[in-house]
Amino acid sequence: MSASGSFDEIRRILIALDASPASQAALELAADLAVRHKAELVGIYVEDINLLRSAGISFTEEVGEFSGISRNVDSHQVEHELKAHARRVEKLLSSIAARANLQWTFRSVRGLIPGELLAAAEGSDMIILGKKGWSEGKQIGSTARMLAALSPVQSLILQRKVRLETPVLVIYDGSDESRKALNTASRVCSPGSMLTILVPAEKEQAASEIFESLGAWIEEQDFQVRFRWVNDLKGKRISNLALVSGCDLVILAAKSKHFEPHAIVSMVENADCAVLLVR
Amino acid sequence: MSVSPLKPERLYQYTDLELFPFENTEQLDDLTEIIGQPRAVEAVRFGTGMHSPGFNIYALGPSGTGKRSLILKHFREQASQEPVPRDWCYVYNFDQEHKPEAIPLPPGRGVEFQADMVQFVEELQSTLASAFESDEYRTRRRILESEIEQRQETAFEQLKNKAQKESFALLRTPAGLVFAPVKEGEVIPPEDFQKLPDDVRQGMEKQVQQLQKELQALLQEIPTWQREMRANILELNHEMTQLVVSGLLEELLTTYADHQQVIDYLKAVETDIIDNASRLLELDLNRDKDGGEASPERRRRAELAFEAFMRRYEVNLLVNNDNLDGAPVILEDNPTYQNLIGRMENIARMGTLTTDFTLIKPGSLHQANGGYLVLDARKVLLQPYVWEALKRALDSHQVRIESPSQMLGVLSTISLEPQPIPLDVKIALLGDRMLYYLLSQSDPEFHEHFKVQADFAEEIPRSAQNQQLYAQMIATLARSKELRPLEKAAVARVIEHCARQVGDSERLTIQVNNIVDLLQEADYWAGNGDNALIRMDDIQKAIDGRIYRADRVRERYQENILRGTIMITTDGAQVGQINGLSVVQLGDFSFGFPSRITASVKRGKGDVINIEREVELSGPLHSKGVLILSGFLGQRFAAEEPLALSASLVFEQSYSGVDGDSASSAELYALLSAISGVSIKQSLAVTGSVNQHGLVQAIGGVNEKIEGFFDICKERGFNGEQGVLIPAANAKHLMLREDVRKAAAAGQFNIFPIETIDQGIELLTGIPMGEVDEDGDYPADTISGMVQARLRQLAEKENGTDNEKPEESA
Repeated sequence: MSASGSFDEIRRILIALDASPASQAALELAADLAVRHKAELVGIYVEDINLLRSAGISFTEEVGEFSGISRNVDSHQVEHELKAHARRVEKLLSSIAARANLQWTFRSVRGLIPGELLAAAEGSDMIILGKKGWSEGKQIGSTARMLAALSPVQSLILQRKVRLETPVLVIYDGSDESRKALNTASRVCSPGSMLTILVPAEKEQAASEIFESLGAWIEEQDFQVRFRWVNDLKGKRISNLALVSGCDLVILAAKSKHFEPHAIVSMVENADCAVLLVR
Repeated sequence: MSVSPLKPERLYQYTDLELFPFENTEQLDDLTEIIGQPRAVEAVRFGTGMHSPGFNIYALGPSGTGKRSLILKHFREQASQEPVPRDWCYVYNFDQEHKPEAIPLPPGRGVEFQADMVQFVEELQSTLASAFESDEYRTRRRILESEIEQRQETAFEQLKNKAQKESFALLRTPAGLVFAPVKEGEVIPPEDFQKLPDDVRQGMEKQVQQLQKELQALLQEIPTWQREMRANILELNHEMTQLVVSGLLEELLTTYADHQQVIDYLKAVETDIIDNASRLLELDLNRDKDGGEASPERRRRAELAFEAFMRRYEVNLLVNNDNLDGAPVILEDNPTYQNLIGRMENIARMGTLTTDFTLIKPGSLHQANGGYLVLDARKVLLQPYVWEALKRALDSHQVRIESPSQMLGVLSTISLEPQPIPLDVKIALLGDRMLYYLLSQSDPEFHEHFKVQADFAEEIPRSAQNQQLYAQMIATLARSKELRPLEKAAVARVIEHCARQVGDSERLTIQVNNIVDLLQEADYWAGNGDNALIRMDDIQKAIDGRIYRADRVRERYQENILRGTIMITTDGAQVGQINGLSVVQLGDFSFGFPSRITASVKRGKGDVINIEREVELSGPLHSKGVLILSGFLGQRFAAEEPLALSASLVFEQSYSGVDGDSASSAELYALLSAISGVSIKQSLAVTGSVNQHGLVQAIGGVNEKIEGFFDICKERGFNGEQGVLIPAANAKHLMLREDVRKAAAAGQFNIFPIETIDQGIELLTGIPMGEVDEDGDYPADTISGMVQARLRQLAEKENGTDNEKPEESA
């Protein structure tokens, strides 16, 4: 998508699968998007080479995440479990794709997860990833963090089920990048849904002017558009604003004068809702 | 000593038309009082006004005597002056779910309370939903959840960072977590690891063990943190709910400030809602457990669960007295256990029958509480467990709703035990006399609960005043049933018919249902004849029609007599044979007919054999009558010497039982004829019982009996000598048919009032009975003389020739 309002078509959606609930939510959203854009779903499962290596070390013990009990692990067992996971997610992908009558492919690769995903993302228009932290909570995992920082394509990171009809928050500062985010929102959101345009500016007057400049664009849209002004986007600000606005999805440009690259990662890390980083 | 036949005017008591100062019943006012029941009226008045426990009324008497009307009238009059009783509601018992609580409220407030709680629940749903969807709540909850998440994340991050510093990575496996040594960001391959010096490997192992211990300690703390978080959220939910509920209940607490039970209930509601705030939140219809939008299936299940849960805040208005003007008067037509005591209905949920306090339904005891209840005694006794349940309620002064199976202890599923409701009710049982006496005899508790006996007479004296009231009652009945008015003569005919119904020219039946039936039938005939009024002819047609419809058996019997199948002689004379008279009752129709009675005597030891009794066809009264004959014979002829005969008596061609003593005089005449050898006139028939002194006593059904013999004679043709001997005491009971009266007036058929056996035997044989002289002998040309001679003859033979064959005569 260009600053003038055009956008890149979404033809291939890469979906990173790992059998977690967040991953399944990501798959369902990916399927919805693929239907809308008549795109192909590309599922990928990465057998973590680090995990396989660790299992080969003699003193490695697995500590049960729920029970806290430690037990021995071996490479065969881990390998077996990873392959079983791969089969399971492939089956899930195939059933969802078949139901939606989508074109799909799946592959299972072995390697370092972030590297494999970044490599796979090269041929896609969007990557969707379920985020999973240590507490199954909101904090981002290392994979998602890497993608947020380095993904060559737009990446959507979520932790629970989100529907396309959900209210959306878009950060728009008048820049070309943020205009791109705005146009992506118009492609992603369903007609009639609520679109909150959050304009960061030091003064409200300035924010209003930026918002008013969108008058023609808004006229063309079939959304309920709402304006919000914010003078500080640091820390949890976006997450809290999304929460207060009742939005489950935040769309913003990955490159913005308001965010350093590490700030983007931090923002994604702290967000309580799904985040779509537009590139 | 000859007896004259009754004059025609003695055979029927006409109604004096002079008593009626009207032309037709349209000119008469309605009768407001029940006639001829002063005893019952007094008893009902007393029973209604008497408020002490146990003074309930048992109205006894045949149907159609006005029991129900009188009781309802007095109950309604009394109830209209009494206050409207309280409403009763059942509400959920928050301490013991299976024991719903009963709350009384002033009349009309029950409906309001119910509506208030419905509104409260509606507002609660919407207000709670708003509260829990508010930004304030969501934000505060999210903060609480974030705190714990943050705590976990921080702890993991610290451990992870510590591991990283020591060149270890914390990795997630499908089922848990592992620490692995890393080099340049990647886990060291096992083959490289093996190449490390032993001491390095051992050092790493110790480090990993230490890290694992810390990880385990961290994992053990997580449940505690989560419990803390849940407790904090619960507290938040309580706080939000309390805000909502307190606000909503504030007005209700003010409204019902005077009703402590309601106040207590409302406070319990408040506590319960607050305690269940989390549950209500889980029942949020629009969200799934992860906070996402709920599926239709989940929404449906959530709706059902929500509705089921919210039912506990409903009010079951069991008794609503809002529309009453006084105390209630309830007539329970179908007093089944459940209709009387109340019931707990069930509904099917998930394939199982369940119940709750909203499904408790009132019985008539609840409806009549504080007022009056009228029940039919027979129905109460016929319905299983109703009588016991009624007594239990009266005994305990409360209504306790139990299902019959629960009461019997055979129910295995969970049911309810609603709090009993205090009972203050006046009950009237309507029933016949037999039931009253049976209950008195068989149930020792009966008199404890039904102390007032209201005895309804079925007949009244046929006084001038009563006949005038009767005319007014007929007018009232005709009007109430929308029948044509009756002309004066028709009224008179109805009264005469009512006298005939009780078999007494001096009394009248007051079984109103029979009179109503007659009037309706007469109205039908009046309509057929295009009469504006019901005339005497219409009444007569109705009477004749009723007789004709019920008359088949009588006609068949009469036919058998006329064809000679049943042998009845109506002329000539026979020794030891007489025409007795019997009555048969078929439903509400009775008719008389003659039976041949024969007697035979032989030498013997003074016993009179009742053949009917020997073959067990004699009822006790008939047997008694026959035994009295022995007494009469012994007293009159064997005071000084033994009665050396053996006599046998039989109802000829009788194939069913015989009872009653009305044939005893006929049997005695047959016996005297058999002993004396004097013939009895077969043109006469006889009815009447006799005592040991030879006095003839009154019997029942005299009209039917006379008419039964009359019909046979009429068919065969009168010979001028035919007639019936009746006890003189029965003369006042005569209300004979018109054709009988006409024949009597023409001298074709005579009714003889008999006082003694002596009078009767003279009429039957033409020979006087005879008076005893100083020596105890009777003149030889009298019946007694002939009997005495024969007895002496038998006695002599008995004394002289014991072994001879007994002599027999008919």
